[in-house]
Amino acid sequence: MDLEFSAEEVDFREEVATWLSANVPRDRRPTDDRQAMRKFDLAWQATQHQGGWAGISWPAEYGGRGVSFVQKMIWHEEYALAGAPSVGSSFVGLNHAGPTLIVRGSPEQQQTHLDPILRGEVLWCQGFSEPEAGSDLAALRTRAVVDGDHLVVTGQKVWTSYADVADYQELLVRTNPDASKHEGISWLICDMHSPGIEVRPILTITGEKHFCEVFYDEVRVPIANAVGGIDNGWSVTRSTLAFERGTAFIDDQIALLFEIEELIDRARTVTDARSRALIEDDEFARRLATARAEGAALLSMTYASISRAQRNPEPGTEGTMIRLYYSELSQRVAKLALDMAGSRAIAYSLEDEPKGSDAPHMYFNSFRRTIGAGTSDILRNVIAERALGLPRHH
Amino acid sequence: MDLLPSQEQTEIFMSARAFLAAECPVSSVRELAHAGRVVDRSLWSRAAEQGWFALGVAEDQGGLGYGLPEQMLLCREIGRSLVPGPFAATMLAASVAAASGDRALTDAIVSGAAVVGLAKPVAQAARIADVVEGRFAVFDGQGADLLLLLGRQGSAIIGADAQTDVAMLPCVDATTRLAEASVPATKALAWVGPDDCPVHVLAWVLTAAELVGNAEASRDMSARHAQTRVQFGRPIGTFQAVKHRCANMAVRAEAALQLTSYASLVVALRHAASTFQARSAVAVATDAAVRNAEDNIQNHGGMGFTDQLDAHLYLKRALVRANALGPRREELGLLLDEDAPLRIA
Repeated sequence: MDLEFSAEEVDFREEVATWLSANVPRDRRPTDDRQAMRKFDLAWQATQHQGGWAGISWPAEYGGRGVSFVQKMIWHEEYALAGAPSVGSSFVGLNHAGPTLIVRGSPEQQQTHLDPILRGEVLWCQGFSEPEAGSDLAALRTRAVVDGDHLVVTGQKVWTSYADVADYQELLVRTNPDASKHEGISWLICDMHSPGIEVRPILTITGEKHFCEVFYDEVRVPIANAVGGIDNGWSVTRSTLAFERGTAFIDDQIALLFEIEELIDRARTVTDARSRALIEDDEFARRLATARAEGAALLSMTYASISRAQRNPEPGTEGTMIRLYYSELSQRVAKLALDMAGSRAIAYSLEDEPKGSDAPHMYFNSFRRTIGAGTSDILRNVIAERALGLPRHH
Repeated sequence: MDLLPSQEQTEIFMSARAFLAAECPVSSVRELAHAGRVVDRSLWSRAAEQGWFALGVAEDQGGLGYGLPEQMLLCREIGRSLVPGPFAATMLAASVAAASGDRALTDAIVSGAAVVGLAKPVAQAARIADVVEGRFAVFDGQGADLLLLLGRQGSAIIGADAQTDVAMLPCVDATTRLAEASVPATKALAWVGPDDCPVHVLAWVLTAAELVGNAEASRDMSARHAQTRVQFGRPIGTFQAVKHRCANMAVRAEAALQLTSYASLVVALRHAASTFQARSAVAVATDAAVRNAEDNIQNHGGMGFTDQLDAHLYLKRALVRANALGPRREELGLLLDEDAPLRIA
């Protein structure tokens, strides 16, 4: 057990911090104008690529920086501390589709797709969930039928973030309806500009259009775009999981710690109806102090997870525990912000007001965290079964 | 940077775990409670022989030259096993004696000859420095040879016989001795200011460590029960309510363990974030131990409500440990005064 950083790691941190302070965009990331947002995200990715920082998690032979787990942690810590913009629409390409192609793609697929992601030339989205296939993803129904050297795709996806601005999609389809549900699925690279694709943004409870429905009407996808081979899609999705080990989420965790600090500052200066600073209220003080302690615990769990990754390439359940802990802590913090805002929490228009750090927006946005990328209920099943050896339901 | 124990550190705590499983199973804890005793002197000397009280003392002062991380790992096992007695206070007293340069006192504590109880002020007016004076809450001070008094302004060791007006208190944990006692102006056998050795901060880390072990014991007891207890034709761990309750216990224990490990490293480095991390560790570990013990009772159904089942022993010990270093409300308020570091130390 130690908190030492090697001379190399110390130099790396300085290099990262120096570059970030000189290159982090000064303008705010646009969120309402989707094309402006796409442009911003691609430009920031291009800047990082020019600086030699693109694909921090990717092995060097695939164009990434090839750094150690501790260096990745250092990058993400400094990134958050520098106030660098959220990875936004670059997320899927950098942290999911790209790594999947690295682990399971053919040389041709890698050559075609990896570099444009790193350069900030293309955006990816994820076509996994369907109206009838959420937690039970393997029940997906979008159908792909072989026609010569193409697959013809018909069906529907839902919750697809950034489908309205993406160039490519990692698309899970059913290629063999006669096989068992896990064995008839394929993972396809789908060009989002293909004829037959219709994207419909979904209005969410935050008043924004975070994600989309996507409809496929006989969309033609080359068979060469099947990653890992036809009918091997389920195993391809599982191989992505081992890749990243949670370092990318350090940005979000530090952002949450910043939010907690900001709430504490707010509690010291904002007064209630009796001209008392909010922090004089025992209930708020207790909740703020607890949030701070739990934020420290969250960060410690991530440090431990990185320590484990250094020793053991096989991930355990620590990443799942961290995700669950983070999502529920962020909800408690958002609720606390809402309660501290008092009547200002309801005299607020989600459609018209500025977004981001406003308490009502933070609060309504927080619901997604225990739902997306694995509901908290599913995560608890995974933890109980894999960490504690409890039997599965049947 | 590595938050996980090394091979050597793993050997230290695994041998402690094996020692405690053999020497002090939970049945022994019950026997001690029934006999009205807290410290089993023979067990205490065997623990001393294992080097427990020498861990944090430098080699040139008769110790083993380890530090807070190793003591933290050991206290985790102590918490897991429920072994009664002021082990953490005695470990800390060894450090105070060593820091004050009193070799004979250090040897007496390290050898196991002197059992040291814990005391903290009940009133602000108490003085803890080269002279000790005031009214104190005492934990396992009856039957001890010495007392370690912990305060923000300093920590000191006095003879246990310096106590007057001793009022024994009942305790929900049958193997902790609670009392209140006065100490008339008494010269300390050894003392340190907070800058020499922030003993109250070290104490937070070791308390958190005991609570981590306690939380893990409750978790593991529930996991075993959920795997084996059959109702409606299947193990109850297949039912989501039980399954999710166990998952919560696992996450709480993991959060508490990693924060306490991190805090032990930060405090060992005397980093500026020491008090914040140590206080946070106590808060998170307390929550883990108490709520895990509560959930463990619930998971055991009717049996969980009996004295016969061990589950309640962990709960009662956790409540006492949590209260030993200050009421929670006061502690949480103090967490807000510190600067929270936003990155690794």
